[in-house]
Amino acid sequence: MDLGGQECTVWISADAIVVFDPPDWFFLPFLTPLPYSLCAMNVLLIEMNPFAPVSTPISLGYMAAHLEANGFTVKIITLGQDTPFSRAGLEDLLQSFQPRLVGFSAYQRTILYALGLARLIKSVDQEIRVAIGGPQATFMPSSALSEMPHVDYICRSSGEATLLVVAKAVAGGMPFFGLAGVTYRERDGDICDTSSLDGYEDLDRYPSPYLTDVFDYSKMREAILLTSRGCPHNCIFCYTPRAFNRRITFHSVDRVLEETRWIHKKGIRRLWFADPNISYRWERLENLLERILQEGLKFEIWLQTRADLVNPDMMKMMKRAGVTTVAFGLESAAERVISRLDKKVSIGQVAQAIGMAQAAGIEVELFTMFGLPYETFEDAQETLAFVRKNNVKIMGNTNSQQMQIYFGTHINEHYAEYHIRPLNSDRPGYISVGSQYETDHMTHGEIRKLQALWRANSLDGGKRVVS
Amino acid sequence: MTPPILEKIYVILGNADATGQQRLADTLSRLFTHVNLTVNLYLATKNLPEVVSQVEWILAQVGQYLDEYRYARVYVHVVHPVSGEDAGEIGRCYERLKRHKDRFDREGYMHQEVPRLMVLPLIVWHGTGKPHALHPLLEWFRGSFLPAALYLDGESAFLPLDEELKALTEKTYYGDGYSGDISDVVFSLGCQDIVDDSSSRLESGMSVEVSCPPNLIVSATEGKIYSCVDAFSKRQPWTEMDGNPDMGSLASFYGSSGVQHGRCVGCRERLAATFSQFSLPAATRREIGALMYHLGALHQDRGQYAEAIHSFRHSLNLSSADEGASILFQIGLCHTMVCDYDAALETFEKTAPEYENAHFFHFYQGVCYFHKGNYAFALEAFSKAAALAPPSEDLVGILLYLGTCHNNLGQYEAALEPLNKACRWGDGVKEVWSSLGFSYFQLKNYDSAIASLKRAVALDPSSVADYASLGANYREKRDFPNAIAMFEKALALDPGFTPAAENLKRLRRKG
Repeated sequence: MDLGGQECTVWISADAIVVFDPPDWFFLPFLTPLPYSLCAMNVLLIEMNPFAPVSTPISLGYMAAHLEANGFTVKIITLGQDTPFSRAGLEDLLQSFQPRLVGFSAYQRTILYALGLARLIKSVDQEIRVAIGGPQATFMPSSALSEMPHVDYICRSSGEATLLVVAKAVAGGMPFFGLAGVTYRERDGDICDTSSLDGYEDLDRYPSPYLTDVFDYSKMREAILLTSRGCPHNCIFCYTPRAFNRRITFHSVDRVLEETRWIHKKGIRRLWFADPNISYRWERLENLLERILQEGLKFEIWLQTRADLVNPDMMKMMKRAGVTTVAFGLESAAERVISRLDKKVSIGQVAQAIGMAQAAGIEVELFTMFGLPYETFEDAQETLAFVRKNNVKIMGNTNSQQMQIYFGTHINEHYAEYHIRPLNSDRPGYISVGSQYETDHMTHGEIRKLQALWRANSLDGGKRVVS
Repeated sequence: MTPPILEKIYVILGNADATGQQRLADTLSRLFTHVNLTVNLYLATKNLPEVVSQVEWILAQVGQYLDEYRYARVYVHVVHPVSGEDAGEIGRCYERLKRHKDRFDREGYMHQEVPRLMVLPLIVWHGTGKPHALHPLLEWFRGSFLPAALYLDGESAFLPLDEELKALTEKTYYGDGYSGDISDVVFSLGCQDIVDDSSSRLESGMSVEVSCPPNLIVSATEGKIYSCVDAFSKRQPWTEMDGNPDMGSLASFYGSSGVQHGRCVGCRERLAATFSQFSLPAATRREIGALMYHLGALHQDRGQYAEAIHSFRHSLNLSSADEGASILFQIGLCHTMVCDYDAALETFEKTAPEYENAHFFHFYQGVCYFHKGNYAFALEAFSKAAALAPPSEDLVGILLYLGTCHNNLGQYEAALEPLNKACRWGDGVKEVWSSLGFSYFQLKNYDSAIASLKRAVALDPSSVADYASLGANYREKRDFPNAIAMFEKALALDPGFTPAAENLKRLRRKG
């Protein structure tokens, strides 16, 4: 390796071969990285969503468990709409816990809050390194980092692996050395992208946040489980396919069952399976549900899957195992709209799936959206009519929402081709178009009207659980 | 002790000069270190046009705070009367306030669900007659701010009947008449807040045996800070505005009024009771009725039956007619627990139309008659209870009482049937075996009595009375060694048990 030049160099770390673009201070003689294991280091992970009640921060949980398995001490704080938390409280926490790295999980609607907290953290201790990850960060333009002066890293690859690399670099005293999976800012302000970093194919290699007791069970009302990650489909509005390279990876049934037992032992009786398509491999889910039944583990279970991945026997089995609610993605009930979303599930299939679930005594939730490409006001009304006709209660996740244009989605890259016009062009780089658009087929006013229409038909005032 | 996290601050504004304004700013600045990520700031004034500059100035300070702390949200509720004639002037005041929030609207609506700064009018209707004069102002609020909230007192309680007005407002608050003192309005808002908090805790399955959310009341007119609504109502300030508020002492205050003394429950109940006296819509009355019922049940669990009766009675007055029977029944149970059987029977009787066909109704009536010594009435009530197919866990108790009534009436033969049935359903219940033993003893069937009592002592080896009863049966069988042994066993367990001691004395004398 030639470390004498300014050009990109290949640097071999314990984890991966990464392309390393050395920052200008790299060549100073005293910068010999310390073995990270010699430096006890605390990491604080924060999830803040002031628009919803606190839920189990499953992704941060995985990262915490992974970091702890690698010798770091991790604390997670989740700030929901009902979480009492003050500036003095945060400052006390920073003083007492003394994290050297703080990680934020960021979404479109929470990014401003994450940046606000990052600023406060830096005002308390400039030396604390701040990383943001999560859906908003993965495909955020690198240039956005220049608009986020209190953020040191945008984490883009697999959360566990990326944050571990960052944590090791910070612990080793060279916070910008040997990185991968991130975008960071060099001393001169230049933005540097590193190569991506793959996570494990076999999800069981990640320590379980449940089995390692990363979570505070006393405050947990519902356990969220991710038995698989990713989705092989191509829905144009969804971030997941690209984030996981259109692949799906799994935990073993043994591992999920072990977690489930532990959760049950801790007194939690509600499970929320957050897998995008939990019945993608039916035999796997069947095995899991059968074993939950055999062991007499009583739960109320919520899960979601595609309407083309269910059958009546499956529904009966789910019911017996404690599934109370199944959610399907309908998106739109107008055939000409849904056919252009690349979802490849017909409206008839959704209607059939609803019927199967209802016949088995399972409550149905339908994810729907308005403001979709090519959708007219009348098309959107068809969706509402479909939901009502199929006796699906308009509440919780069935409350419809406007399509959001997120970073990383196909539609974000190609919105003009879908006749979508953003309403403003002066948004900061860390914010995507989101809901601020209208289409050739639907005005902003019509979108607002649809919002009001759904709210008027809602049984709970339009409170969604999942965004 | 960890300083409390303030969720709401009510500020009663005065006609402040520059010094007063600075004093308020300093106070708020210190308190804002301890506010929640989302804080509600209520600025209450009896005359908005007079203090609008002060409100503007506070909004500017809040804006600076939000610029500094970009994770924070502040909802400013401007609380003031409107009479109708002054609607135009009020509108001009809000035009001035609007300037301070607009930039947050742009920030918020572009990227977030709601902006970080919201200015929310809370109108105390102070006019007479129909409030059509309010409509243009409320429409303007809806367009330029957010729909206003409305504060109604007894005299203006007719307002919600105005459908158009209802559609223009966001929320309704209720109070006890507005006499021109805005402090009364703040007190009413605080009471409603506690009712809302308690109800939402109940809905979420959380306990109400906790301190209220730490909400301060800052009275700029008095120069004092109150630690909670209750303290405000008693005019017991926590500290002066001039001082540097010691948040540790506030934490101690909230801590000391904690769960262990049940003071928080008492306080919530008292304030909810005060609030319930206002002119309220039926739904709100029912909500408080449900809260009172829950508080009654809490008292009941703690064995505070007099308090429970008080809460349940309050609940009864506020709840709908179809909930009356269940509340009355709880009152009856409380009377039973304090041995006021006449009051209990009188109360249970009122629930007869609803519960005539419920086994528990007859059971508790029977319990009252039984303890009054009226075994014939008790027998009738327990027989009805048994005939109403009670669940097995209740059936054993009913049969036991039935058998005992027969025994007490000297109908020992008749007692055998319910008691034997009770033994089959409740093999593990010691009392049924004891009672059965007693019946057999009276029928001079000593072997069966001994078998029953042996089962009783097997279930409860510390049962002094059952050992003594065994001794009596052996004595009647003239099996004196066993009788002595049993009386000795009883005495070993309780040396002061006189019947055993006397029997033993007599047997030894014979021996």
